[in-house]
Amino acid sequence: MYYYLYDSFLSDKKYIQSLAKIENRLIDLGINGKIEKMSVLKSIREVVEDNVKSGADTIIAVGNDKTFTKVFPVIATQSNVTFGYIPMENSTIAGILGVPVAEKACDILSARIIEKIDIGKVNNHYFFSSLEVPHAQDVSLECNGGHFSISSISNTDHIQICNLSYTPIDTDKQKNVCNPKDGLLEAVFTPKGKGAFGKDKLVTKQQSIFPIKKMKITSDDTVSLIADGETVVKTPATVEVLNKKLNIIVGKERSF
Amino acid sequence: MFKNQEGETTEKETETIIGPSVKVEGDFHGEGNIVVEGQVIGTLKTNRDLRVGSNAKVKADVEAANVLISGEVIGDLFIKEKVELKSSAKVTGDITTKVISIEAGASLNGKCNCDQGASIEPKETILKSKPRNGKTSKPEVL
Repeated sequence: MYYYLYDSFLSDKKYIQSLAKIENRLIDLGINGKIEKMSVLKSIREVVEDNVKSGADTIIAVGNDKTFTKVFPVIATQSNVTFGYIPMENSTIAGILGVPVAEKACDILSARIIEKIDIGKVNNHYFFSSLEVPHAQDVSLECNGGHFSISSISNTDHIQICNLSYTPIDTDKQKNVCNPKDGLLEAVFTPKGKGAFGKDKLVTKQQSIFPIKKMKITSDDTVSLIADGETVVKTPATVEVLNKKLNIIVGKERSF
Repeated sequence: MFKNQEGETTEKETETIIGPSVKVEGDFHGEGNIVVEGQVIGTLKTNRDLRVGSNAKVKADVEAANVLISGEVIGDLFIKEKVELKSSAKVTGDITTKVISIEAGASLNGKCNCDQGASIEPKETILKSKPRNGKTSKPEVL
């Protein structure tokens, strides 16, 4: 049974026509279901849990990448629930999943190619693509239960813990970097150099890449970590991979 | 192993890259191939291949299947198959391996044990089997 969760911004008039096309297409494909709009009055968790109890086995987020990152952590905590996504605008996550925009995404849902993918966990939060450490100063990563630690020599490196990252990584070095099905996260250290007009730029040719399953991020002072560009978590933080935790509908053009 | 020239890495095989901007301290055990371009202090182990770049500084005991060294290593090496020292390599420590290749210009200060027929044992096993104080391990007969 399909259940569609619309983000609140879709109430705007400019989305009426697109939503109508999507709903008609879903009916044509025979995968229409209950539609509910997000609101401040009810939490996403309550809404999803209620519908799972009612028999929904496929939850589709309709909106943008922010919608996706809000909904997927709730889906990940449910067992035997499949997650889908209909992006209403150009979306980086949708590109990685091989899902086109608006009504064309309905055909992907109908084809129902399901992948079990890894997700990351930092303290009590889940992240789908990456965890960023904006300021590497005095930050160290303790891995393997503290048997070894990794730190930036210059304290200026850009640090990411990636599951499925879409920020620049030198994939010429490793074809398998940031594969969401490998049971690993990658700690990526990218040094900064000076680009045009004195702006900082990432020197991807000198990246360090560490495949890890679990690590602890510590720092002398409290540092903010940013999960999926949205959620802020403070150090100390324990980061681990949850292997094949999320069932998700993907397209043939996916990047993994 | 590492057939490409210095500065290039073998695609699909390399798994851990310790770049020039990073320092690793402690007991580092990798699962796959390792490329070191930065600093490592402690111990460095892998069951696969290890490459130490020309700007790398390793102050660690090293265990690997094969190793190619272009930079500085201070520590003992226990390499199951082959050690390759490039002309810019500086190694201070003992090497135990089956096969060694040393380019002109490489620096090696330490003992070199090469035996193609031997099975290379890790450091802990060798230390346990050595007799203490010159005595045998057999009990004295009274």
